[in-house]
Amino acid sequence: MKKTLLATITVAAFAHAPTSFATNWFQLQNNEQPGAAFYKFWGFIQPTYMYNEGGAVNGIPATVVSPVNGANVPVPAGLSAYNGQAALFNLVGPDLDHGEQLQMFRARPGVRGVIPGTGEKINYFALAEFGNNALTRERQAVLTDATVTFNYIPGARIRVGLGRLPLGEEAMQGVQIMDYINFTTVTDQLLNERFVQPYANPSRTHAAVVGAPMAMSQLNGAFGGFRDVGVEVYDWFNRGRWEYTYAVMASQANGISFSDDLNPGNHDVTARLQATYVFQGAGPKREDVTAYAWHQEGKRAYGSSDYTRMREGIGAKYLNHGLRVSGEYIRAKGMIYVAPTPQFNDIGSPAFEPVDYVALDSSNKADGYYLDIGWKFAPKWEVDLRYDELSKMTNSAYDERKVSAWTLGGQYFYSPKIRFALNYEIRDIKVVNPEAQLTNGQKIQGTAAGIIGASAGNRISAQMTWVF
Amino acid sequence: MKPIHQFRTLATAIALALTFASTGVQAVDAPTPQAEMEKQKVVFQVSASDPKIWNLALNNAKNVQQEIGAKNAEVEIVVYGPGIGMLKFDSAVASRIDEAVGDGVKVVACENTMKAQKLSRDDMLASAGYVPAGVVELMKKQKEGYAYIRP
Repeated sequence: MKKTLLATITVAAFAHAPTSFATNWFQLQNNEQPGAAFYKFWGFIQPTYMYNEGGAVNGIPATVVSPVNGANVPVPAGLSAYNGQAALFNLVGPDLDHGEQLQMFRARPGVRGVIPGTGEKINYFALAEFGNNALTRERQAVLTDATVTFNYIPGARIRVGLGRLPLGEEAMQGVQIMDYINFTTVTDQLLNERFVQPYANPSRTHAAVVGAPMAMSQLNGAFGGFRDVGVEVYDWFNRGRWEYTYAVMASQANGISFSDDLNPGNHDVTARLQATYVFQGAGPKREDVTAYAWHQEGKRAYGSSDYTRMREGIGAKYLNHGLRVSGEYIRAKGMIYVAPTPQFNDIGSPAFEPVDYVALDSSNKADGYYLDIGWKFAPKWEVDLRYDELSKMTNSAYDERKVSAWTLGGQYFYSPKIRFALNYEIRDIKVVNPEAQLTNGQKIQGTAAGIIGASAGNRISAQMTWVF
Repeated sequence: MKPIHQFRTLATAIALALTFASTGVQAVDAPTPQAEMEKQKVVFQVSASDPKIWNLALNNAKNVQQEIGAKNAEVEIVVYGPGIGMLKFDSAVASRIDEAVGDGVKVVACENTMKAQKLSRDDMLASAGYVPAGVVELMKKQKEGYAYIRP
C-alpha cells in the first residue's frame, strides 16, 4: 500500500515536471512553458544610431557612347539632375532624410500567457511596435503579433492570427536577440515584403523601362515584417537529443495588415522543415546544430492581374561552446522588388520622379546567401563576421545587379537584459553585366546605375537592446 | 589582604588581561595555520522542477564564492528527484551550470533518480558529476561539516 502510494506521488510529481525545455523558434514565439502565468508583460526597445560614409553622387555624365553606332548620346536631364544628391542606400531608413541618425528604431511592448481555465492548452502572444521603422511607415503604432495557439491535437498545434511566417532563419528569430543590427540584404529584400501598387504620374517624367518588363509602382502599406494573418499548424518531436520540427501556414498574404486591401483575394502557403541535434541548453541561445528548408508560394494582385510569387531557402546553423557558424541560401521567383528608380528622393522637375520598379512575372528571378561566424570569447563579449550577397534579376543580363556586404560586429552583454552592439558594414553594389547594355537607353541607364551604385558607402551602426 | 598580596593579585590580573587581549588580537588579525586550511563548506539541495529554484541555487553558490572567495569555499549542489531536469542536456540553465563548474562548484546528479527516470549519462550535461544517491550525499556532506541549504 505504502509502495503504491509512494509510486503514485512520485508519478504525480514527475507528471507536473516539465519534460523538456528544449526550444526552437516556434516554441519560443508560439508557446508557453509549463506553469506559465495568465499574463506576462514584456517587450524591448532598441535605440539605434547609424552613420553612412557614402556621400552624394557625382559623375552622371552628360553623354554616353552609343553601343549601336558609337555616337555620343545625351543623357536625359531627368537622370543627370540627380548629380549632387545622396542615393537612398546612403540614407538612414525609414525616413531617408539624413546620412546619419539616432532614432528609436524599435519599441515593442507585448503581453503573453495562457488563457485561464484551459489547462494551459490555449495560449496567446501579442506584440506592438512603436519604433520608427518600415512597419510603422504609415502609422505610429502597429500590432506585429496577435496570435492564439491551441495545443489540443498531439502532433498538430494550431496557431491563429497575425504572426511570423515559417521562413528563413533571420526572419524567424526575434530581433531582440539578433546578432547583427541590420538584416542581410537577401533576407530584407526578398522576404521582408514590400507591397506595391501601379503608379505613374502623368504630370512628371519617369525613367523608362529599357530591360526586362517591369512595372512602375509605388509602395502600399507597411512592409510585411516576415508576418501575415493566417493559420499555422506546427509541432516538434524530440527523440533523445534530436528534435524534428514542421510548420505549415496558410495566410492571407497582406503582411501585418488585418484587411485584405493590399492583396485582395489571394493567399500564401508557407512551410518549413527542420532537424536539430541539441548539444545542450534551452532558449534562443540553445547550443545545437540545425538544418532547415522552407518554401513559400502564392499570388499577388497587381492592377487587374494576379502574379505568382515564390520564395524558398535552405540553411544550417551551428552553435556550441560560444562558436556560431551559420549560412543560408535563398531564391525567389516573381514579384521581384527591383529598386526605386532613380534611387533618390524626388527633387522635382526636370528630374525623373522616382518610381519603384517591380518585375512581376514569375520568369524574373533573384537569389542570394549569407555566411556568418560568431565567437563569444568571454561571458560578456562576442565578435561577429558576416558576408551576404543578393543578385537580383538573374534572368536578365542587362538588369542584373549584385549587392554584397561584409559586416564586422561586436556585442557586449552588459546583463542578461541589456546588450550593446556595434557593426561596420563594407558595402558594394555592382552592375553585373555592363557588356549587356546593347541599346542607347540601356547604355544611359546602365551607366547611371553603375555610377550610383559605386556611391554606396560603408555603414556604421550602434544599437542598445533592453529587454524588459 | 596584605599590600604585597594585593600587588601580586593585581599583577596576575594585568598579565592575564594582556594575555587574553594579545590572543584576541592574534585571532582577528592573524589566523592560525589551522584556520587557514579549513574551508567554508556548503551543500545545496535542488529537488524542485522549477527553473527559478535552479537559478536561485546557482545564484546562492556564486554569492558564497564571491563573499568568502572561491578558494576558501567548497560548494556542492546535489540535484535529485523532480529537480533532475536541471542537469539534463536540455536544461534551461545549462550555460550557468558550465560556468559554475568552471568556477569550482561541484554539481552532482542522483543516479537513483536517473534510473527511475530512465536517464543515462548521455542524457545529461557534460559538466555534471554523479553520486549514487542524492539524499545519502546530503547526509554525508552534513556529517562532514557542510552547511546545508535548500533554496
